Amino acid sequence: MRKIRAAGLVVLLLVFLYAGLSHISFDVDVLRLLPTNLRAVRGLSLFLQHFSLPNELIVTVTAERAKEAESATESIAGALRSRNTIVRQVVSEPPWEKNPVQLSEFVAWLVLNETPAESDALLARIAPGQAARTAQETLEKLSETISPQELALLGYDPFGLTLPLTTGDFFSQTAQSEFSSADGKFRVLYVEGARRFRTYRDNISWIREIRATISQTHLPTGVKVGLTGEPAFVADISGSMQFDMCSSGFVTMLLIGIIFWLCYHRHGPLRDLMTMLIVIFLVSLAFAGLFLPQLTVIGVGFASIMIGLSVDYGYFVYQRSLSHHGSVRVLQKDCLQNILWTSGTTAAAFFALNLSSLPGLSQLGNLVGIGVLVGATVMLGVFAQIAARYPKTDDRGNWGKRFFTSPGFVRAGIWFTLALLGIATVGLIWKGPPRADFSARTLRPRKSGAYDAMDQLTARLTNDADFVSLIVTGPDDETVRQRLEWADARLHAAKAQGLVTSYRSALPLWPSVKNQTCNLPRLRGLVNELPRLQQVVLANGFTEESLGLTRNVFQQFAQWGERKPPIWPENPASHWILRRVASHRDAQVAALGLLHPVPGKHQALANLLQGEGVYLASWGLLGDELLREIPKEFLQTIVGLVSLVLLILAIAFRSLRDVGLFVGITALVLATLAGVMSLLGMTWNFFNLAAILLLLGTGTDYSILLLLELRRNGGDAVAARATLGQVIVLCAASASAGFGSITWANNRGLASLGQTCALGLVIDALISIFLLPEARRWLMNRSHA
Amino acid sequence: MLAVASAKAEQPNEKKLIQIWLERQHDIKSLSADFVQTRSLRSLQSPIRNKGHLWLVKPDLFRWQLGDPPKTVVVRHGRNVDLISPFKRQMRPLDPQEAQRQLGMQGAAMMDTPVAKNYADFISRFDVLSVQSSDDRCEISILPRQDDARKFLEGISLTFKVSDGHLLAFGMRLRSGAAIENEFTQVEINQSIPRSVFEFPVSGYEVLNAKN
Repeated sequence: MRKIRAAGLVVLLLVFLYAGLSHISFDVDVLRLLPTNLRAVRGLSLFLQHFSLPNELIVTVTAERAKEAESATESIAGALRSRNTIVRQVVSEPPWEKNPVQLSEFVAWLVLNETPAESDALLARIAPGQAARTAQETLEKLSETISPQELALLGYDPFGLTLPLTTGDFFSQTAQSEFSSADGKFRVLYVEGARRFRTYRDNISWIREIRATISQTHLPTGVKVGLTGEPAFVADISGSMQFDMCSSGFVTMLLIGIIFWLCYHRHGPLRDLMTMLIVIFLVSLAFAGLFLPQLTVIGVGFASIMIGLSVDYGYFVYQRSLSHHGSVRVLQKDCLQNILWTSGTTAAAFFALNLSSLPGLSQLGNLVGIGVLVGATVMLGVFAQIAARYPKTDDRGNWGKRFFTSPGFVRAGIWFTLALLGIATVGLIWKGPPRADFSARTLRPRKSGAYDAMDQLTARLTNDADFVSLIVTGPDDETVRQRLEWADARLHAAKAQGLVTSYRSALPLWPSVKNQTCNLPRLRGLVNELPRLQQVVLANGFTEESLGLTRNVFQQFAQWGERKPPIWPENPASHWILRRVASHRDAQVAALGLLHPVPGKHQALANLLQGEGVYLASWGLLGDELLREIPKEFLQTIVGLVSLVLLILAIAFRSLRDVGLFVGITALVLATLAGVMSLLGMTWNFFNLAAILLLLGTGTDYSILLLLELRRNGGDAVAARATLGQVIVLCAASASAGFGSITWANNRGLASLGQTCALGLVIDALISIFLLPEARRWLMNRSHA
Repeated sequence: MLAVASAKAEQPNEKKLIQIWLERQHDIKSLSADFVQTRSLRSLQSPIRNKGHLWLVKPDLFRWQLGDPPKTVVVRHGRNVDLISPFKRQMRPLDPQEAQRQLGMQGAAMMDTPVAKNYADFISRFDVLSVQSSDDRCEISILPRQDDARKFLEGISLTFKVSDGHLLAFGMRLRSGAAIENEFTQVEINQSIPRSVFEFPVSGYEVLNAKN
């Protein structure tokens, strides 16, 4: 019966693990880590939501010669087009370049959007008495112009329909090609996936197939191909997150295994402890898969941190089991109070991260909190049963006791810690506290082909990285138009005030319901004028071919016929032009513009453009806003956490002196950490500021445990070190191993969190073990004297 | 085909012809020439013909005008380039690079003579499609390597006298099917040109900004 029950439990566990682990997904959007109430975060989120094009891969081709780049691009485009099961379309040039007729829908739409006065002017130009004169004027322009583009365009536009296309602000500033650098050595292809990507794994396998297809084109050496755009970012970052999570978990377990072996030299318990850690890791991961929608990059670090903390309960159970001679239940009962207290406070500290409005930090707190509780349950419920069966006649574990109480070791430890404090003080005086770095750099992966290719694309095609996106949103087209008009007036003022060097608003391209409603009834009948206009052009030196654009535009007006404004153009050429200008998604309409702020005027510009549904988005602006808001945010959370800890300690110690000592020690730990960070050239960023909270939550355990022990044994430092020295070293080493293993994470921010926490825990353990008992003894002696 | 033509261009004789033309340009200190420009468009029943004239004094004085009397005038003084429409009494300052690009297309590439410092520079900027010579006349067909020019250009042809390197004709074919041909006559090299030629009176003209 017990066997059946055990088998049932194992099956249930396996089902749970399968269900949870198969649901794990990654959110590569770093903005999900940040508070959504910040305008810069909101602006960038809206940009990604509306204009990031999740199915569009950008392939960059770089070669030494323009001809090589051109033929390589053609080969790649051909190979990708042949894979129609994975690729819907490949765009290697503007859609209208091979088929200019496609542009006529867009021209018709621009005319439809003109003001009634402009529309009147067009009707006047083609009126029976005026059409011949208009054609003659066009002929005159054709003989005068020095612009090859105008020469090409006017030849097919005798009545000036393309006037809004050539005079609009929008097109006068979009001379940059999206497809090739001016020298032709750098080219770009836009590849749309045949299907939507459901999970990040779909994304990774699609990118792999694209790479394989490109590699089959056997490009000459010297031709370099890069992949970027949303699918490449997702594949790149998710892949590295998955690797970081698994590798850091594995490295942590390996380090813990080595630490345990060095302390106890026993195979069996080591094997069982490792098995428990794997179970805890998988169960916590399954929890995360089932109950958290998507893991963010900061959440990825949870696995190793959680293992590093959970193993503490394993050490404790094992240590107790060595001297325990009762039943399993008695051993469990013996450990229950301590594990409950420590895991409860650690989990509470991590859950307290929910006090912060930073979603990424809350997720990390919840994940580690859950993991710590799972760890405590598994160690107490399962490992204790196994540990109770280990041989009891064991003295090997006591070497640590002798080691930690030897006067030589204590003296060396005190001097080493004092030297560290001295070095940190020098660091603080010499270099000052670590500076803050909230730039976009800290949110980026260390290595990413997608980021590199995007950087190259920005440098080669736009030669300008210092632009700010202007996002204007609203529930419908008309509201967005009104907000665009508001923003346009402000931008005009901003230019007059010297805040922007130039700007490109979506307003010239935005449909006006009023204009369209007024113009359409007058324009849709123009198709009937074509025979007359044909006679006019033929009589004035033009061929029949010259009327092609006019014919298509007038037919388009007729096609729109009775449609109700707002009307948007729909063919591939129009879609291509408007894909980075307008978006209708998730019951929201968004318009995209571009600004070039004068250096140093970003904030003044952001203040000027604070209006409903109007957002400025750039990584630089985000960095500025984070620098302003995040320290405040952290300070509030730290004050909350410290107050909670002090309240608990005041109840536990009932001694102002011990509480004061705890505060002093904690301050010393943080000051030493700051000094060492300065010397190592480390900076505070959005990620590693969380280290302060984590140190307050976990590192302070060491000083609390020692203070409790010192109070219990009447201030005997030697006895306290004998009891807790080895445990604190084991716990600090394991937790540092956990944090340290994410030092090599691909995400710079996550890596800095690992480095700062590992460093902080080591400093905390050293100061607690070597200086705290001495400081307390000195205080006691002083008060007695 | 382009590859074959390029390979052909590397033959010593053809390379020498291009070098002769480039070297002659170095000797030009001033230039004055009449030209007839023919614009042929598929959308027009007959080509548009205009007379024009250009003056050049190295290093940075230049005037190019189209029409007789002139309808379009481009004047350069150092870094300043103005596009003038005498009939409309309008003047528009041009970005020098943009002016060079657009005028290059009109057969006035010599605004910045020489077109290339040497043969290597020339080859780095143009693909040579073909080189044909007979008697004292040589025609080079080229295509700029710059991608934005290749978008609407199919080719440029330069015809010059081999003996003295003087440009006889300049033509270009656009991808739209249009073509512009310039035939040069009355070419005077290194003759004195009064500075007043480059001072076009624009008093009372409307000054347009670049956007207009």
